Amino acid sequence: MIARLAGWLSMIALVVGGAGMVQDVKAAGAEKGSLQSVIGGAKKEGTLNFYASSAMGPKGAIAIQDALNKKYGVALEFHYTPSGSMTRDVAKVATALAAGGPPDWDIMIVNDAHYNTLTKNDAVDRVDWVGSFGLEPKSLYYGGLAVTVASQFVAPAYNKQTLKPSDAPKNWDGLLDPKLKGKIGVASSTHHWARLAQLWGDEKTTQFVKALAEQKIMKGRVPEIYTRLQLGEVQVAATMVDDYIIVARRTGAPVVFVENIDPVIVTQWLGAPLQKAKHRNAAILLTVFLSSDEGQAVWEKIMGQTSMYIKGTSAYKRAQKGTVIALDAKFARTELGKLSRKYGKMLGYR
Amino acid sequence: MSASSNPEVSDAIEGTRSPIVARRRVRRATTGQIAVAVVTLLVGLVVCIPVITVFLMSLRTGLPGRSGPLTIENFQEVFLDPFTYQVLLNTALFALGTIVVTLLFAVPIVWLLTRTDLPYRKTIYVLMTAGILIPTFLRTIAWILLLSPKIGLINQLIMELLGLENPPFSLYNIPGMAFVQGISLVPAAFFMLSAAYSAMDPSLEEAAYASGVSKLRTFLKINLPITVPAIAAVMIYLLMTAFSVFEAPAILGLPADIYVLSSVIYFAITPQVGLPDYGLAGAYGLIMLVTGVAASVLYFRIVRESRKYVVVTGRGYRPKRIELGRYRYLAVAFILLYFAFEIFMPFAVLVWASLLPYLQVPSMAALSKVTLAAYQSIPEYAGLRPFMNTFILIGLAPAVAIAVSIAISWIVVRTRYRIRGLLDGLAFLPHAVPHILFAVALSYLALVYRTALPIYGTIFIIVFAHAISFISYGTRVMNSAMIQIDPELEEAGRACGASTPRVVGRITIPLVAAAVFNGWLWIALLSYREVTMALVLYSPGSEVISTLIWKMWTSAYVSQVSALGVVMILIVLVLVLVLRTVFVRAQMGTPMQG
Repeated sequence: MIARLAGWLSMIALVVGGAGMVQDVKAAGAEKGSLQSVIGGAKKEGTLNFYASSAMGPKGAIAIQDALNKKYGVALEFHYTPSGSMTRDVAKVATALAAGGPPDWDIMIVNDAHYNTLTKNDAVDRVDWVGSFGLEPKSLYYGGLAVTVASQFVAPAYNKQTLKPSDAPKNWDGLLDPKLKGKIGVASSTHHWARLAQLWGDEKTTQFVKALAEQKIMKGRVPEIYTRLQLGEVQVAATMVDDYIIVARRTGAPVVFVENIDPVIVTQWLGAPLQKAKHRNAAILLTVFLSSDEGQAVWEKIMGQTSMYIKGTSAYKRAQKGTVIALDAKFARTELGKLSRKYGKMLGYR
Repeated sequence: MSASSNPEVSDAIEGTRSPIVARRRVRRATTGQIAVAVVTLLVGLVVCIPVITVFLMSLRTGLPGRSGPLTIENFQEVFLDPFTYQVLLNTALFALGTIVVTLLFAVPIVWLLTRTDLPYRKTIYVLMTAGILIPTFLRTIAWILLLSPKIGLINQLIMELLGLENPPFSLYNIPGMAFVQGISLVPAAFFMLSAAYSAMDPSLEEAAYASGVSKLRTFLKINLPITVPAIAAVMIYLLMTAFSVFEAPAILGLPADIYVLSSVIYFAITPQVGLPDYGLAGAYGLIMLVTGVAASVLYFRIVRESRKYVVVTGRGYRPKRIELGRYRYLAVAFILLYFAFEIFMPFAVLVWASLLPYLQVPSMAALSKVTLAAYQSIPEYAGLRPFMNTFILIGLAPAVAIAVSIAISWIVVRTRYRIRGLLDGLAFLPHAVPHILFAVALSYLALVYRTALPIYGTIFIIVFAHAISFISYGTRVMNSAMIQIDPELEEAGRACGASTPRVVGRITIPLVAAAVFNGWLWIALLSYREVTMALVLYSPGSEVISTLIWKMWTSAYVSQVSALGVVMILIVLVLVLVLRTVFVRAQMGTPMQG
């Protein structure tokens, strides 16, 4: 009876899911084209569907489009999609490719953890970034598949109106100060703790997270923790990405980073053309542009961030000040997910 | 009493029979069976295929479409974990609390608005539609500003006045979550119930008053029992809604370690690293599905006894309003209290947030920072496309959902086909599946079959998803309204030779026009606000306002989100007022007025 039921379910599975059996999409061969041929190709393509943080906004996307068009003498029209849920949108791309369809976007600028998922699912097209376009090898991730567009620093943050700077934590251990019990918000971005474990090791991080969980923390998603921090419902956010600090600076909100924390976590915004991208040349051109001085300047103006791999940028200078934890590809593949879940559970996230 | 059960009417109909009439009836019966079969098949296809896809996801690991053996791994992870049972208990308590809070406000408000001479009815009706337009996360933040143990203004005020050391209220518990959620669901229940209450025959109440029964006792002994199917429909709808809502449990439950089904589904689908675990989410979702099916069966049993609840007959039906007398002001005060919870306080917070560069607790210092910058930046962030897409969405999705709902409800309530129970269950099924999983399944199917049905990547896939999902709401509204219309009215039409579509079009629909209007309007508002499915299904060029608001919220643009919310509320209030006026004018001269 059970066997028959399983047989029926398998048949239904074939009907419903048959057409979308996984396509063994292999990465395309290394791109040998020069910048000129890419510019020529992009001119023919005319448009670019690109996905990036919603913090950029349509105005920011147009600023990048105009700067790129000016630099390369093209007239690309950008169709920008602000991020909603990067996890789900990355899954959407993987599903689209698995179903044999093209992805919705030619390029996604998402963080290094999401690129781990994209590359694992053969969703990224291979380009010879160093040989053909002279990009900095250190800025490449996942075997040279993805390029660092900008670096995003992660550190504890506090509300300087409700907590005096002298009472704010000075380092990671400062978060465990009994005076801060019941005043700390810990966001659901538990991968931040896993990144810390890349340097500290699992044992030390486990002890730290365990002690942090005993601080009567307030949990929530990142925007909620930021809102509670603004309102003063929590006085410290255990980790906060600099996107929010930049917004706080622009709006005058009293939310600031704990200065010069060591080590500092850094996540990278990466970019690369996706497999089966309709406008592949335009996607390559955007990646190359964002790695240039002009690209970095416009990105910094819009997003407040730069790449720590490009000499002279503000992120480069910040990275020189102390220990920086940038994600290691092997660690990302083997440990990041496992440890994120482990520390998440310890903090009360399921 | 119906024609079939009334010997006189039956005899009269019998008397008209002739071989030609008999042949016509046979032909009608066959056509009817074919029509029912076609409707059932179509609804079955559009509902069952995504639901089966969700079920199959729960039996697999990885993304939909990935080949691999079927496994019960996800179910083992769910059901062998003691945490699941704590989650189920929390969910049940939260759902129960939500239903109680909603009905505590919704039932008296519906009665006051539809059966009594309460003043300002038009204004109240329009205001009922406003609450849904306030984004849930901002509404919840508004409650935190008022009742947080640390920063809540009401708590601080009471502590100061009474010299208390600890805050008297906290929202970070199940009653707090149920209160916030329950209040926000009152309009949905209101729209579902209002058609049933407005159709009620006043002679029943008048008979009670003539016998010296008080208004309250009449309400409890007559109004409430006669609307049992409508209230049952609302309760089941609310139960499944409370199972699936996420914002209040996330913002108020998480800080207190209170997990409900929707939160564990959210974390399964939104891991910090890696791909969503749709299989695990599907296994949790199956709990909702089973509950939904069980609730649907229960509901159908009530509907099967529908003839007990007929109140609109062919004999001089004429609704009349009850005079409230000296209780008018008490009634107005009750409704104002509700509006204070549902609209005035959250809307005040929305306006406050929209006028500040960043969200702050009200103070004189904050007042000095008031600016209109967020309003000026709306075009910069929004563009025109999301508005156009939203217009298409709220025009098409409710129209399709209501048209299909009328057909389904008519079959379920009016016919005796054995398949009608299945059809009713099918209509309710999408509401029992977590919306996110339903959308993932639809997205995947639309990708796979994009050549045959090229809706992937367009606004029409969101229209399609909303139309299917909200059929559950549409059929609950239409079932409740149709139950109260005596079949003899339609049978009289048929006896005069009118075809079934003509009878439905000329007799049934005009009699349930208030329900059609309310259902359409509410589905349009639900569609406007819905973000979970839209976020999964949108593509470049098909963004809608709800996805835009969500994205701005996740980027910490609270002021811009609030400004957009305020503008949209004002626009929609004007639209509802106009639509309502047009509808009431069109209904003038007919006995039914919502």
